[in-house]
Amino acid sequence: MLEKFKKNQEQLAVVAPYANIYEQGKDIVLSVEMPGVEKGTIDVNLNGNLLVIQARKMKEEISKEYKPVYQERFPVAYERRFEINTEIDRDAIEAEYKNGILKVSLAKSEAAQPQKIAIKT
Amino acid sequence: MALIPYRRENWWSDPFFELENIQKQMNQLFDFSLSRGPGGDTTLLGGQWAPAVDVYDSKDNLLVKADLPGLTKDEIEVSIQDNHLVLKGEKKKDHEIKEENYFKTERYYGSFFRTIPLPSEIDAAKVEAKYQDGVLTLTLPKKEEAKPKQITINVQ
Repeated sequence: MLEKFKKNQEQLAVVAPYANIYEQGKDIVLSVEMPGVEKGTIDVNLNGNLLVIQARKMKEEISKEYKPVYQERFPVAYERRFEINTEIDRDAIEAEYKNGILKVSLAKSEAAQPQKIAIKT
Repeated sequence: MALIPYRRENWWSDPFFELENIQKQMNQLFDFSLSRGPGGDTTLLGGQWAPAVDVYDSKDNLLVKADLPGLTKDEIEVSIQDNHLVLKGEKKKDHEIKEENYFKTERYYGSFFRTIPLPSEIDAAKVEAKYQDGVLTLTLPKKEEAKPKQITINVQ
């Protein structure tokens, strides 16, 4: 038990990042705020209709001559889940990480597009 | 689209982890309400939100890191006044997206402001700034006279 407790000390706190969700043309876009994460740790996964976004903000490597005066930024594990209720094109999911923002674009499939119905006279 | 609250798998096997997590989140909650108000409350110093900052000290330099996600480097203003580092600027919403197209907005927008007292005098002309992955890194070289000096004692 104690060993397990010690191991957990190293585990990162889990934080749900802030996100904006909006519609842009045929896409549903999620923009998730995750400053300072390493690109290699970002994981975007669509499982059924559950979109899971995970990333890790690791401890920064700072040269040994520096001593901390104060710290407000800590290593965290970001995780957020979104349920997608719209039919989307599963092969056309795009993700881009820039300036600390992860942008995930989901293209709505043809079936989910609004269809215009002609009225007969 | 719906949001699902976070639930770790096997959470029941790790009671300590959960407790620790609650404590961290409580701490965050206090930091959050004191330094930046959601929905545009203003902080004491005028900015609508303030970035989280780390400060490091070495013999020759100070190192400052600030979380400023979603900005461009032209939107961040860095200055040194009366031995304080001042970070300010404004985070603007993407104008290409119409207000009615948003399903959810949680991210902060508006002006930010933060001053950090500096523990030693800085050579303002030699400050280096780098902005990457939403993190601003500043290297502030100390003035020659502010550096610690070794005084040798001559024994006669």
